Amino acid sequence: MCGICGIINTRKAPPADLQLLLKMIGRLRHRGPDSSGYYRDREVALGHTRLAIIDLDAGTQPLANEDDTIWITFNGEIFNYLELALELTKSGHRFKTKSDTEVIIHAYEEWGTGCFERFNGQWALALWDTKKKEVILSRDRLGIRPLYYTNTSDKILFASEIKSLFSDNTVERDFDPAGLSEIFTFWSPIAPKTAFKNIQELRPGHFAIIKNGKIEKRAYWSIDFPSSTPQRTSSEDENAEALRQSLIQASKLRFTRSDVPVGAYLSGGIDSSITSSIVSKYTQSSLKTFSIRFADAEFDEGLFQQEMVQRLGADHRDVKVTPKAIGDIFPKVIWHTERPILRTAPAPLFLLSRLVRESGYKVVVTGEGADEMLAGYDIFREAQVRHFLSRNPDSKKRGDIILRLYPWLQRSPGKAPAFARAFFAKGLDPLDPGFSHRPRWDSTSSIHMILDPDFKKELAKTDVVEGFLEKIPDSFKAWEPLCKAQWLEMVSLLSGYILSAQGDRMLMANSVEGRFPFLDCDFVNFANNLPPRHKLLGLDEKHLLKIAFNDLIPSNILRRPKQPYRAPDAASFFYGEKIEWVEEITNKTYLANAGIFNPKAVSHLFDKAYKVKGQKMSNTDNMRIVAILSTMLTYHHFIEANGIENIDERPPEPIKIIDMVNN
Amino acid sequence: MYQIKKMTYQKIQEYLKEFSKTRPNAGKDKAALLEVALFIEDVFSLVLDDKDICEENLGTYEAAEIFLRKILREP
Repeated sequence: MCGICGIINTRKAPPADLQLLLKMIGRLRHRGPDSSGYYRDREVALGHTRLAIIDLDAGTQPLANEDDTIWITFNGEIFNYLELALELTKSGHRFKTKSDTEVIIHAYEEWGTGCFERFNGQWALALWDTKKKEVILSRDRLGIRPLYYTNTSDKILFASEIKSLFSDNTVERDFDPAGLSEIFTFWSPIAPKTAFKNIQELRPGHFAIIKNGKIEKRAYWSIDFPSSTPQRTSSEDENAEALRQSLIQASKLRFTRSDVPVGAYLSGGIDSSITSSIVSKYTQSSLKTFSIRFADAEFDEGLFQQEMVQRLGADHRDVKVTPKAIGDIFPKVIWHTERPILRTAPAPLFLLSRLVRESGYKVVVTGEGADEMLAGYDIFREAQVRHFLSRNPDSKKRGDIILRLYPWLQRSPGKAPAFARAFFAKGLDPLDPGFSHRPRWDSTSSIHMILDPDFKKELAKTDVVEGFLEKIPDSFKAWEPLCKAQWLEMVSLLSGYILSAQGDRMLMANSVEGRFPFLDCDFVNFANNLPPRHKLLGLDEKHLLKIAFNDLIPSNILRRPKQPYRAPDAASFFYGEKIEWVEEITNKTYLANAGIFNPKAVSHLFDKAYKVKGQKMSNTDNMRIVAILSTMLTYHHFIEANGIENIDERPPEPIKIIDMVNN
Repeated sequence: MYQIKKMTYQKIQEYLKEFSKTRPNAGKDKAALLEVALFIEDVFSLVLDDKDICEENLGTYEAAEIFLRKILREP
């Protein structure tokens, strides 16, 4: 895994400023501390920081084809590179390295931009085709690897992270109100939008051709589901076996295609237990596992982790996370997320990847994506229940289904009908394309109530929900309700939050690459074509996954109620003594300067939090507190200042230099 | 208010069998009974009246099978 960046002249300007290029590279040091490199000619400059994983000796970048007419800077892995190399060799291509990077160049030579459809992997890359005078940017299907770009008066800059773009002082550093509004509604900006004005993210499954200063974006892949059919004929047994084989293949590819050892996250849930079990049973690799433990029993899954560790005989390490540790690391976490977040959940993952790195590992496989592909999240079960209620809103019986969704209500069944009514009071129109997600969007939008009145007016100019729903594909209408909910989840949250703020950024902050078998393109295609009942059967989430692996996973893990991954929120900042950075970024003057939040509302909320030491606060209050702190840290790190202390931003050595300007 | 979808006897059995694997105690209480109703409506594209959501119809898989065969007009 690596960091990439580049500068493309859009006018007849002097060659890219070398100091700027080195600064951009240096800001991506954490993504690739093993070495760096750049290519520069009079039109284009490409930068790279390398985390060496495949072909450790020869895989340095930027890399070119045989006659130096096509150059690449690449972040990611093409897991089927050996198969592609074989095919390309048969077509006459000759390779000088054993890296997947070189396979991309030859694949581009052979198939043009059609090559992206052939890749099974996770990538963000730039190809500089000196003959066509085109730069091609490309990103993997689901947005595992990030890629941002911006225009200035005379150039286009691109990079793996926004902080690299901000190396150029001519790039405006200001919040985009619509981007923030998306975060305060969907939890994440939806590409191409970001939290910042004039900074765009290349959408997953897309490539962009940059020529003569113009950017033309095209999709090479999109999330798709079959149309609703009157009868679903697939057998459960056949599908379970096919799922098992597909996931084994995807996991093996991710464990074995590496020249450094690969570890595994083990959360105590089904998904990571399955991927770890596959390694143990189907590969020769020794198994090293890593887990998060929480001091607070409410969040801790240690007992389940230990059960799997013993069963697998894994060499295991864990990091015990306290609320104080989250509060201490949070400013650095936001330096890496580069955007406001609404939960502290990424912070423990930062501490976990640090443990991985300290343990001598730089690649881990995780269970990310299973909940989206196989309907594991509560939001899918909630939508199922809401559909059930909406089919007969006058029913006297149906409200009690809530007891099945939230078994904790069994302790006070008298509250169930009222809870159900509240839950279903709004947005019960089954024809609404946003049906499944309205409750989440509505509750998240309550953050708007603590915004500065002027800023709130600015945000009100754009209806981000309607804007999002206008982008749904034509085929959406014909999909089953579960597939519609999955699409909304994948597009609004998977790439922008789960894989980014909580994924790539927390892993790469400590120079660790994540690999995700559940996001293998063949597995995704298989999962999307499953009958919905095999994903969510009644209210049984990830039904087929449990059937497919019931021999490898103990039943108490397989059948335990889904525990969403969460961490202490308000309790991490108000546990006792006042935290200096919290005071600094939330004083009245600072809040007024930023102009995002209403200082009175913040003061009121924080007084309340101090009083109860952040304990037992409502979901809404927890979310608002994290939103305020992360937004103000984003402002502090990227808008008011341009950087944070104690970060090494030198380009990692050795530096590979290909400079056509000075030659 | 049924929206009847023709369904073979084998399909009814197959889907109920799938459900029974994860919910062996169908209909053991009123909430469990509702989950059976939810499953049946979802998979067979039906809408049940409140009077049909009862132990007699949905309390066991055998009862559910008989009930479904009746309302789906299968012999």
